[in-house]
Amino acid sequence: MGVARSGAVRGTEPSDTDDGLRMNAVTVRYGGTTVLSEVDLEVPRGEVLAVLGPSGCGKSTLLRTIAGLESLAAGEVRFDGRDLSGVPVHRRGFGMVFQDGQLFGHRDVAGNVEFALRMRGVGRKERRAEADRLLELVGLAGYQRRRVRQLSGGQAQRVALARALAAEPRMLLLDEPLSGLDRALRDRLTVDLARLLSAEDSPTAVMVTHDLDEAFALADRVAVLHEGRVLQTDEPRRLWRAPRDERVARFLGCTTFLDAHVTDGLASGPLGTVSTPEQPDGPVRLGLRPVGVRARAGRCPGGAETTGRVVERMHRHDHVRLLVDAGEGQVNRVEAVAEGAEIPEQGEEVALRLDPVGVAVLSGASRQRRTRTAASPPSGRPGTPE
Amino acid sequence: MTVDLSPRGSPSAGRRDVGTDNGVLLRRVGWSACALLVLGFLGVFFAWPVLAILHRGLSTPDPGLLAEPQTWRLVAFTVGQAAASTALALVAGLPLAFLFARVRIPGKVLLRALVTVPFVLPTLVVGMAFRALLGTDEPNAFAIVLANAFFNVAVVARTVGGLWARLDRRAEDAARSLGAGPLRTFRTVTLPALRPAVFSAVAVVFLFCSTSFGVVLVLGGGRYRTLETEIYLRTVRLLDLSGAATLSLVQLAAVLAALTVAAFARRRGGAAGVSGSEVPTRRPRGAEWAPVAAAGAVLLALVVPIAALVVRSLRSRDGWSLDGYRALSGTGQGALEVSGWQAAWNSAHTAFDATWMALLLGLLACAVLVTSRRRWAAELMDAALMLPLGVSAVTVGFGYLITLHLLPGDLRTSPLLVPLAQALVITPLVIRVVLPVLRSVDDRLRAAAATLGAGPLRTRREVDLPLAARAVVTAAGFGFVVALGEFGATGFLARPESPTLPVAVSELIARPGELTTQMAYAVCALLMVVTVVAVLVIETLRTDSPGEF
Repeated sequence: MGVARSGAVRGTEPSDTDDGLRMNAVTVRYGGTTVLSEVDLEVPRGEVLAVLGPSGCGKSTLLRTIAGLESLAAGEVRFDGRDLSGVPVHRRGFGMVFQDGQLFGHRDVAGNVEFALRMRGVGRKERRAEADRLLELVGLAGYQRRRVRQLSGGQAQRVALARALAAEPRMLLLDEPLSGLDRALRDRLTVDLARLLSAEDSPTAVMVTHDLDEAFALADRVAVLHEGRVLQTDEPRRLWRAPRDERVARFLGCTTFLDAHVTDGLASGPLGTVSTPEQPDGPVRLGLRPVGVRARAGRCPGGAETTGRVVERMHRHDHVRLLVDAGEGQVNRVEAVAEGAEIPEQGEEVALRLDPVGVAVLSGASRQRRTRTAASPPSGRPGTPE
Repeated sequence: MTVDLSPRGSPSAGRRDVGTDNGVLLRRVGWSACALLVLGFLGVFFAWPVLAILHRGLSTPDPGLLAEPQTWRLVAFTVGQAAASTALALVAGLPLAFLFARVRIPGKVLLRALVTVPFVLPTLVVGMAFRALLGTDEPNAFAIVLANAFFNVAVVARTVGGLWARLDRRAEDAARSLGAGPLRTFRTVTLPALRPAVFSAVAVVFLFCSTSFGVVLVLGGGRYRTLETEIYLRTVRLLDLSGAATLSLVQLAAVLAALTVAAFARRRGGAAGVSGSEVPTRRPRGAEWAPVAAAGAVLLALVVPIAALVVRSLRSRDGWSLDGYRALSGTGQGALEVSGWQAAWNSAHTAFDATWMALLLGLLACAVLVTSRRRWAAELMDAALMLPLGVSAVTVGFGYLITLHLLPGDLRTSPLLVPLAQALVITPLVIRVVLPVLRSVDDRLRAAAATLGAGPLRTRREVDLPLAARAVVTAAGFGFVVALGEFGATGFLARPESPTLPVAVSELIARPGELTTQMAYAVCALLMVVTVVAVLVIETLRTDSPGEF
C-alpha cells in the first residue's frame, strides 16, 4: 500500500506545487441534470486518489471528464499547471481502465497491449518486447497469442491494465477496475494493483469505486462523492476516524449518531464512554458503526453500563448483528454486534459497551444538531420485527 | 493554444503539439460536411428527380384519373396482391425462422443461403422462373402472388429469426410449467415477444410486394397491372406524365405509411426477455417436429422454381440442348444490339461501379448516423435514406432524364448514369446491414482507443472498421448482386447499345421466337448462378452479425 504523502494536509486545501492533476470548480451537465457540481480535486504527482461514492453519484462521469470524454459546463481541469480544455482525449496521455476491460475483441492479448505503442509508431520489435514485459508485470506471461474472448474476467482486467500502462500514461484512471470480479479474485488483484501503484515510478492515479475495501487498500487519499459534490477528501485513516458530517459517516458505515462530551480524552454519552485520545475537551458528535457497539447478554453487575432490549437479530458470516432498543433518551435504537459466548435472543436484555474501533468523531459542524436519530434496522431484515 | 503533452519518458514519436480548439471545431465541421454530402447526394440524385416528375405531372393535373374506377381497381389489385403475397410470405417464413433460430440441424449455412437466394435474385429472373414452372406465357394473378412471396420469404425468415434466436427460452419454459400446451405457449408467449420483428418484416415485405415491378411485368402481361407497372407504362409507352405523376403520388403515400409502420415497429424492438447473445439451438422434440416439417416443405417449394428455370434453360422443343447458352455469343437474332456476353460484361461493370458508389455513400452515412448526438436528426436521416427503397425506380429513372442535363457535364450520356441509379437502390441495403453492427459497438471501446492515443479517424480505422468488416463485405456482396439484377431504373436508363443482362432478358422475351426465349432463360440461369455463388460466399463469411438482413 502506498504511503500517505499528504501529511497534515486536510480536506481540499490547495498545495503549493503545480504538479499533478487539479480540478477547479468543475461542473458537468447532461441536458438539464447537473452530474458534477463545482468539484474541486487535487492529485499531486505520484499519488493515488480514490473517489468513493454510491452508484449514480457521478463517479464515472468524473473519471470521463478527466479523460476528456465529457465536456465541462464550468470550471477547469489542469495537469502540471496546464489547462486541458480543448486537449482531446487521445492527446492527454491518461490511461484508462474500464470496469469491464473493454478489450478489443478483434485483436489478441498482445495486440491489445501493443495498441498504444502502435498509435505512437513504435517499431514492431520494441512493441513486442514491451508487451512481454507488461504481461509479465501483470502476471500473464505467455498469454500473448490468446484471444481476448478466451480470458476470464480477472485475466481480462489484467490485460486492460497492461494495455493502459503500455501508453506510459502520465496518469492512470481506473473505473471500478475490480468490481466485476468475485470476492477472492478481487482481493488478490487488489494486492497486485497496490503493488503496481506504490512502485517507485508509478503513475499518478485516480480510481473510482463504491467499494470501501478497494478504496482504502489502494489510495493515498480518498474523496467521498455524493450527488455530484465532493463532501470530503482525506487520507483513509483520517476519513475513517473523522468523517466531516453525517452523510460521509453514513457512507462509511455509521448507522447511529449521538452527542457526547469529551473530558481528558474520554467521550461520555448516552451509551457510555469511549476513548477519543486526539480530541480536545468539549462537546462532540459521534458516529457509531455496528462494531462500535458491543452487546452482551444479561445485565452486568455494577450496572454502570447502558442496557437495552434486542429487537432484531441477524446472523452474518462472522458475527451476529443486533438491533437494540436502548430505551427513551437521545438514542433509542442502535445497531450492535453481539459479543460473548451466549448470543442474546430476541426480546432479551443486553448490556451495551462502546468500542473505539467502530466509533467515528465527526469533524464538521453538525455538532449543534440535536435531533434524535433512529438507527436504521440491519440491512436484510431477519424475521418479522415486533 | 499549443500544449505539449508528451508523456514522461516515452518514445513520443506520434504525439504532436496541436491547436486543439481548432481541432474540435474542425471535427464538427467535418462531420457536418459528411452529413451534407450524403444528404446532398440524396437530394440531387433522388429527391430532385422525383420531385421534378411530380411537379411536371401535377402542373397539368389529371384529377379525372382519381375518379376513374379503373384507377381504383388498379390500387385495389396492387394492395390486394401485396397483402396476399405478404400473408403467404409470413406463413412460409415463420417455420423457417423457427428452424434457423431454435433447431440444431446440419448444413444450416447452406439452408440459410438457399433461403436468401430468392431475395437477391433479379425480379425478372423470378418472374421467368415462375413462367417456366407454369409452362405458359398466359398472365396469371396467382403466379404473381406466389412469385412475390417466394421473393420475400427470406425477409420474414431473417428478420423474425434474428429476434427469435435471441429470445429467452425460459419465458416459454415458464408458460409450459404453468400448464400451457405448445400451441398455446407459442400464441401467448412467443408470438407477442416476436411482434416487433413480425411487424417490421410485414411492413418491409408489403413495401416490396406493392412496388414489385419485374415480377408483375413478366407474369401479369398486360392484364394484371399494379401501380408500379402502370407508372412505367404511362411514362414509357403512353408518355402520360400527369397520369404517372398522380399515380406516383398515390404510391408515395402508401410507401410513407409502410415506412412509418416499420420504423414504429423497430422502435418497439428490444422488448423484454431478449438476451444479447443467441440462445443455444437443440434437436427438435415432440410438437416441434411440426414446424420443422413445414420448414422442410417451404425449402422444397423454394427450390422448385429455381430448378424449373435451370431445366427450362436446358430444354428446347427437341429435348435437351445448350442452344440458349450458345446463343449468348450472338445478339439473339437482332433482339439485342450487342452479344449476350457483352451484356454480361456491361452488367458486371455497372454493378461494380454501383457497389463502390453505394459503399462510399452508405458507409459515410453510417459514420454520420453513429456519430450524431442528436437522436431525432439521426432518425430522420435514417428514414430519408430508406426512401429510395420504396419509391418507384421507374420514377427515379425518368426523373434523371428530365433533371440531370441541368447539371454541369451531361450525366445523361455518362456511363456512370446507370450505376448512380443502382447505387441509390442498394445504398439502403448497405446501411441496413452495416449500421446495426456499428451501433452494437460499445462506445467505451472507442473511448478506450482514444485514451490509448488514437485520434478520431484512427479510432474509426482501428475499432469500427475491423468490427464492421464482415458486415461491409456482406453489404458489398448483396449490393453487387442486387445491382446486377436491378431492372426498374436500369431498364429505363440503359442505352440500347449497352444493355445489362436484365435489360437483355426483357428485350428477348418481347421478341417471340424459340431461340430468343431459350436465350432469355439461359441469361436468367446465368444471373441465378452468379447470385447463388455470391450468397454462398457471403453466408460462409458471416457468423452472427446483428444485421437486419
